Amino acid sequence: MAPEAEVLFGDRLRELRKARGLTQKDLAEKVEIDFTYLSKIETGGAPPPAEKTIRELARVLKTDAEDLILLAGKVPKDLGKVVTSSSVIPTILRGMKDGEFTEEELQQCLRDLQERKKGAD
Amino acid sequence: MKFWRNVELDDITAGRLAEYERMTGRKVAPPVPVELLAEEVFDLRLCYEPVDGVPGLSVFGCLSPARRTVYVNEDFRALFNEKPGLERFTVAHEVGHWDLFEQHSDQKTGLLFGPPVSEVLNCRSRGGVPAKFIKGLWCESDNDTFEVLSYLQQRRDAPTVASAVDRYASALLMPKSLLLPAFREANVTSWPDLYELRARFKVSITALVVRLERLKQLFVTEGKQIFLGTREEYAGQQRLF
Repeated sequence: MAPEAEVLFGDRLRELRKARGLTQKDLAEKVEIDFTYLSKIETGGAPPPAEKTIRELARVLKTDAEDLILLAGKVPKDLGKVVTSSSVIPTILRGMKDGEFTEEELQQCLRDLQERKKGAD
Repeated sequence: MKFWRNVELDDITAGRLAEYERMTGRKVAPPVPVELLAEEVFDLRLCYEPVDGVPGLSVFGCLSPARRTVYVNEDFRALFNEKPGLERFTVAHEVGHWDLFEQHSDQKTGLLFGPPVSEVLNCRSRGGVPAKFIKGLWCESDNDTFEVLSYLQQRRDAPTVASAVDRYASALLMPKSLLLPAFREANVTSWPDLYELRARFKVSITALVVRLERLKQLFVTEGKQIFLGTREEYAGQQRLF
């Protein structure tokens, strides 16, 4: 059974491709990957491709690359840099992993932060 | 098992093409977008995988009803590149299986020797069934595989089923509404004219000739001459002269 991220990514990719009226072969040709590989990605038979390819897919399908990268279970390279250079983010992530912070609590923090920022502006 | 008449298959496939046009807002023109139609109208998935056959036998494609997936045998990639019509006909054949026999069938949740029949694959083949698939999907031992394989070999497309899905594929890829005007416009008098028409519809020359014969547009004689009329008319003419 394919991992959930692979299935979700494959499903989304298929949806976007269909919406553009492209066959697997059309899209594979535009992104310069093998169509058999693309078919396997879509059906969860292969893991999502490298970030560079996902960005290329997003460009052709006119969709947000970051969304697709996250859906693939990957952290975009530029965000990865932010995570590793910050001392706060790893603590938050560890807290989430250990169940110390819930998604809801973090959403609230984010909203508070955005409100405060708006107030300061 | 229901026998599908040609006129019924023409009506069904015309309906599917109209459905595709309604759903996508795209007008269908030759070559018929069979892959997109399979995905849009039937929500079938398309996957290119190597599909192992029995030694000496081979499989062009299969349908897994439970997974709603048409598998095209990647091992035939070179042949499909050379003959895109064959690949398209394979996909259309599996779509025919789904449309005519599987989508409303209870068999999708039935059982076969314990494992679900859902994974019984309908095969378009040169006489084979996908042993690797069978094993990978639901057989625990080689004995199981052998048993299921034997069953499937007997179960492989019965002539009436194969005939119906092949005629369905032919009607889907070469709908009357598109083929007849194109045939008239092409003013066919020779084989190169037919090859041009074949390229337009992206089908094999055999499939095109069979379809045109079925639509009573032409008949190819034993000497490979093109006769613009039916087999019966040709025979009648032969008797006259």
